[in-house]
Amino acid sequence: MALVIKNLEKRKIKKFIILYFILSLFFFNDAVSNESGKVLSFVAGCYGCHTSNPNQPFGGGYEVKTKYGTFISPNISKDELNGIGNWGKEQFIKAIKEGLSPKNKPYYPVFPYNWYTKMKESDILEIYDYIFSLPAVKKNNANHDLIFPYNIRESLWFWRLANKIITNKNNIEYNSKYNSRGEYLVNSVGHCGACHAPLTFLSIIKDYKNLGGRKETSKFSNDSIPNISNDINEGIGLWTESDIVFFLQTGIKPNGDFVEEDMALIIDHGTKYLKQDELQDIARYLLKIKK
Amino acid sequence: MLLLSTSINTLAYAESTEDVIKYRKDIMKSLGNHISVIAANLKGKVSINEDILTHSKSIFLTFSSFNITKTFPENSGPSNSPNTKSLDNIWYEKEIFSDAMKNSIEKAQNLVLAAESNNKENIAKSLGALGKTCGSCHKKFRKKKN
Repeated sequence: MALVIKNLEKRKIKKFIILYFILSLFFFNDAVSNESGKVLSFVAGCYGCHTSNPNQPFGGGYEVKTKYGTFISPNISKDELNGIGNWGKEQFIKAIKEGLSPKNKPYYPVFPYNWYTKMKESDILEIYDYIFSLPAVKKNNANHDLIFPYNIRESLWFWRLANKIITNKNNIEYNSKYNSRGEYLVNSVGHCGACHAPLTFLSIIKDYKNLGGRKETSKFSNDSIPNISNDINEGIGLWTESDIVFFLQTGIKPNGDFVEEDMALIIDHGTKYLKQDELQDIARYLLKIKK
Repeated sequence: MLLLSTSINTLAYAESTEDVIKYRKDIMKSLGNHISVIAANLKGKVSINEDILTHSKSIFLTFSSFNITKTFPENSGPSNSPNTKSLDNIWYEKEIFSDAMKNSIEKAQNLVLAAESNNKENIAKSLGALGKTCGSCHKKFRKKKN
């Protein structure tokens, strides 16, 4: 009798160990995936731009002041009413890569989908999984406060057409393959050019890989975004690889000054989470860019 | 005679305003230089690691002995001189400015503790945290660079 009970317990323990192993494998993989999705969502700016209150991640409400008025980021948490809780993975990929909502409404280019077009779908899905692993934020969306005619969303179809024509006309290397992880992070996920590339007509970017900086003066904003090409006088040509890596980790420039404005947020909610070798790759790529 | 006296006073006052502006710029530059020295060691550009603690202490001492009233006296703002990047709200929001300075002292103290532990990862984190307080203070109280 005692032997039967012993065997029964052994079998139970065996079953328990197998079950535990399977479950732990499942949860371990999930944790790894979420960590990677978290970093990608930070570096891509999803968290920084769609979070105005750290207790409500991805709940929206962050204001971006531009010469067209103030954009207020929407809720992209998994809340079904205000967020993207009803979106499937395909719809999420379409929004990121094409800048179109599930109902085919165009997004304003303040959402830098033009850079995300070349993002790997697996990376986009990691972000999706991360957002859906967090609690829903029950927060209403606020309307953008834009001047006429930019407040008419349909006018974006015209912008998209103009963007396409100018982009093709200037033979932008926008669709080229990325040669390194650094280039991919700079020109796609990190969308550095969204702020650092000079703008042309209707804020269309002539060259997505030009990081020569820009000045924007209007009644809504007064921004001077630095040149981060390898130009010795105006850019970061005198910075070393380790200067750039350290800057993207801490926000401290080689002269001991601290980064200002939005870049502080980008470092704090983004680049400082990247791995050392990824940051080195970014630095090597940036030091190659000519103005 | 009265005119001459007024001119001399104006000149003396103008010099004093410019002097105090230069003086506080020198303090800020010295802080930047100390940060730079620590950063050079953390980046591996040099390996004079014993300097990390020395310069961390210098930063802490500079912040903790900072006399706001004397270094940022009334009438030394942007309306008094084109050579300052200080914004008027330093004087309108004195308490917030003073709190920001206290925050920097606290972070500088943490940097000294990290430097004493000799752990470079902690030092980098503490330096980043200190830099963040500098950045948020500059954002609010320093004119943006063009």
